[in-house]
Amino acid sequence: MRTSSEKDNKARGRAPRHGRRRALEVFIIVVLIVAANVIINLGFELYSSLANVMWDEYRSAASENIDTVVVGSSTGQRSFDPAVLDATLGATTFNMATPAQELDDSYTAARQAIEDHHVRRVILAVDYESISTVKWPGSHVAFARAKMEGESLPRAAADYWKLLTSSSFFDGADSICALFPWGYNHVELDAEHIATNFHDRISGTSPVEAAARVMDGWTYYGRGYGNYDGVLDYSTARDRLSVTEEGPADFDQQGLDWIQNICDLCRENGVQLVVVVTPRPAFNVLAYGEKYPEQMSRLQQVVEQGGGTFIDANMAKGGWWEPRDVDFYDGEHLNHDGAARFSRAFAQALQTLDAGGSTANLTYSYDHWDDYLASVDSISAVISTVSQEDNGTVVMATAYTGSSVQVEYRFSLVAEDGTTTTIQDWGASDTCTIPDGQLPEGSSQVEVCVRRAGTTVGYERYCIQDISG
Amino acid sequence: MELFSLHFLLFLVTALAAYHVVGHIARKNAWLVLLAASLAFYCLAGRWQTLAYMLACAAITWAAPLGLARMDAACRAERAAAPDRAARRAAKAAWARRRRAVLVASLAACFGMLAYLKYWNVLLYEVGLAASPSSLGLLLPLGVSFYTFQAASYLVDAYNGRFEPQRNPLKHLLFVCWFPQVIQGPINRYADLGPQLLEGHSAKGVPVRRSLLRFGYGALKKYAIANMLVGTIDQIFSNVTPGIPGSVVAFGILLYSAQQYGDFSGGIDMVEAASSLFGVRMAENFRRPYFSVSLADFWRRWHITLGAWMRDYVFFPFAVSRPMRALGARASRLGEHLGRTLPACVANLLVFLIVGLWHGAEPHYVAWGLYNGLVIALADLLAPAFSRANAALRVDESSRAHRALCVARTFLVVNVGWYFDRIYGFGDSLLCLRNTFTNFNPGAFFLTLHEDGITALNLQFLVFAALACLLVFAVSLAQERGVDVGGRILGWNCVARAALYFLVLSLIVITSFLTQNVAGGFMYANF
Repeated sequence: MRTSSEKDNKARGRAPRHGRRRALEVFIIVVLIVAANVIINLGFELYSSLANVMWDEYRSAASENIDTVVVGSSTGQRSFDPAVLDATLGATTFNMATPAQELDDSYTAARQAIEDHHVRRVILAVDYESISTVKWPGSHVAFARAKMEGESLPRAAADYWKLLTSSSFFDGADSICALFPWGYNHVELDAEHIATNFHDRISGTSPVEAAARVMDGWTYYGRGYGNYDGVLDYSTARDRLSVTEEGPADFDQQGLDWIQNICDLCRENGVQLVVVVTPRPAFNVLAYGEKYPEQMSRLQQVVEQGGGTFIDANMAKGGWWEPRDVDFYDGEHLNHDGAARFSRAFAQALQTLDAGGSTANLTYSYDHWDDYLASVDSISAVISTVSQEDNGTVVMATAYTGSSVQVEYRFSLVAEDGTTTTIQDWGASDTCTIPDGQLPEGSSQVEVCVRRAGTTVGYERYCIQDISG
Repeated sequence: MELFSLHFLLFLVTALAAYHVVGHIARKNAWLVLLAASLAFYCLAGRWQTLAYMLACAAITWAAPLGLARMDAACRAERAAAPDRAARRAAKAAWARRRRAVLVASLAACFGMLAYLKYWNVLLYEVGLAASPSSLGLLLPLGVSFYTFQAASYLVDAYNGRFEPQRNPLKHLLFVCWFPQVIQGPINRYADLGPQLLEGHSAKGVPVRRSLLRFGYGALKKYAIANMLVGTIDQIFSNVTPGIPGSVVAFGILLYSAQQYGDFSGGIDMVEAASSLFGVRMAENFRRPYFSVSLADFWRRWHITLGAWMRDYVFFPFAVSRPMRALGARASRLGEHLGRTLPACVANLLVFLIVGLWHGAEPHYVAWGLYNGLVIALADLLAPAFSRANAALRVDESSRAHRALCVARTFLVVNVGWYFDRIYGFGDSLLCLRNTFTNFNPGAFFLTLHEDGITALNLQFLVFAALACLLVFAVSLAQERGVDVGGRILGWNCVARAALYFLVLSLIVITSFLTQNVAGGFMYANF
């Protein structure tokens, strides 16, 4: 029989071997998880991401002269055509804006351009959501991963560690999940897209080629700028509104702080900063109501106190920039023709600045919000909401237009076979109640048409919504 | 700071390293590291400005038992010096009154702080004296309900002489503010937790692999189930209209039952795991509650430590109080069963009224609490009738089918309760309950969800939550049958374990991404 001390000795003798085995097990498990992560990244992490396109193109232009950069989110990416700006200004512009680019990433992009090319002008493109509470961890990950591609391993690791420990990641699950980048910016989940992505990555296809092939209708025009040619269908305005049902959020102080940081960066480096609120259809400005001038004036104050120039293209007065319906691709972005038109107008503004002039008179001031409202003389869009009440289905319409425009509505039922029955003819009332008995069985739709009161046109805008019988 | 974050991970690793290094050098003082870590965590995860409330609660519950101990000594001295039995009795009664006064005053101070911070503003709002439930701007301390209940249990147990009160205020503070419990419990007892926190543990005795496994399991429940479902539930119940179809309501409530369990038990798994990495085992708080055979059984498996707290400090003292004994005596004239159970039924109603208020001062929480109390009370009162019915129908109560039926019945009863818990308006809760039975209208299911902003894509991606639910169900079923699931998994070879860990991590990564992006329609955002 063994004594307890013998047992202890045996246990002590076994412990190191046992420990080594455990360590080996842990090592194998970690290696297998890392390997699986790498393999899945190859197939799933989007190679044709627009952040990847931008950084790849930027690195390709390393030896070229760049004196102006555009930073910001997709609205900036699709509002500024460098070729148009350069043709007017004689500058050399590169568009570094990427989809959902957050302001700290805009700061990183601007700083990189200042370091690499000593640029003299930074154009920061923003919209309301850039400064309010929307956060896109996927955008951060895609931006950081694309930037890492061209860096040395220590620099890349340091950059990624900086992302994981940044204020928007450190306290949340993203700080761990971002170690699995395929979960953040991935291909469409079907075999064809995954295989194409995998092939593009390992075959040396350039990101811009891959993006042009993967993204239907997207064309790359060079210098970081690519866009679509489609035109917004205004009857879908409800789905294009940037304001949620809860209403617009106030600006996030952290967002304003980042604007301040960008102002400081530019001022300290002697770089001219122009902060531009990019154009969007009027309905997507009017939907914010009084919040728009209230919050935007906060942004304007930060920019101007930080030494930058502030221009809100949505408040443009006629004569400088007058957007047309066909300029917009969707509720937030210009299409290629729209971007070219806007870039020409914006180049004029920059010429004014370069000549030492002011751009203040190009736009309505937020203090004169009523003047802006009065200047909108057409109906930008109409949307409807449907609710079930005790007395039937209530359809409520909202027309987005200027303060001096009177409108009238017509409500119709559209049956499954497409036949339309008017249930409330033209009138000023924006609400229509459909008693339950009048609703056809099954699914149908309600159509709301709107026009300026007193006119006889068929309609100026319309929208359609599903209802059930 | 979320538990599944780099911040918490680094914090945990730093605290563990410090604990074991200090423990190696001076084992007796290792608890100081735990205290420092707990205070640091409180400041990092909560609001440091509210630390004073927790310190005040700890100070009161540290000082009062010491005062009680001194009063005991004084009582003994006075009784020893008393000339006769009557004088000894008088001295004992006088000191008992004083002791009780100290206890009541201390409890009033602790619960007064809790009531002020958690309920005062809501109460003012409900009676129209505040603009909103948070208009006073009171900062709610992290885990205020949990540490208050835990500290109160220490106070009452010390009053009852269950242990010698802790003389070192810092050691007592550690019991109150132990960081894994401060977020969402469990509500630990001093007799179980106190010695573990103070005795020091060597790294060799720590079940690291099991703890990490449990942490991952908790994260799966929290992220892949709870966080994945919460947005859909919010969308369904954020705008309750009179015409809301019962099918949509029932769907929302079913999701809520999964979300509640995933959120609470997942979080508990994570904090239990974090605590066990220090060698400190906290009280279990969940035991597969959806396998309960009755609502009373459910409450013995769901938030176990709150149930035990209520049982020991509210139910028993109240049920055996003089008025309740008198009520039982009177009721026994109508039948022995009634006489025995009626005091317990009334005590249950009180307990669940408090449980409802513990969740919040809003009327729907009170209704939820009372609903639970009422169902349990009725089940107790009608137990003989049920037994007779089962006997008459020759129901085999030990059969699997009967058990499965009881589990399904309890699940339904619990879900009816969730109506009052989740739907933030008592009237809306009743409306939804009515529509569930009178206007189920499955034909309007998808259209209503669409109108609530829940797209087909949202619904498609609930498959990930469903997959996680299936995993949790399989694990729970095995555990219910007595299988040591953790032990089995740790016995697998490395490749199988790596595959499982990667699957769990992937589910968390995917659902974490979906939670943030699909609701905004940015599934394929192409950043």
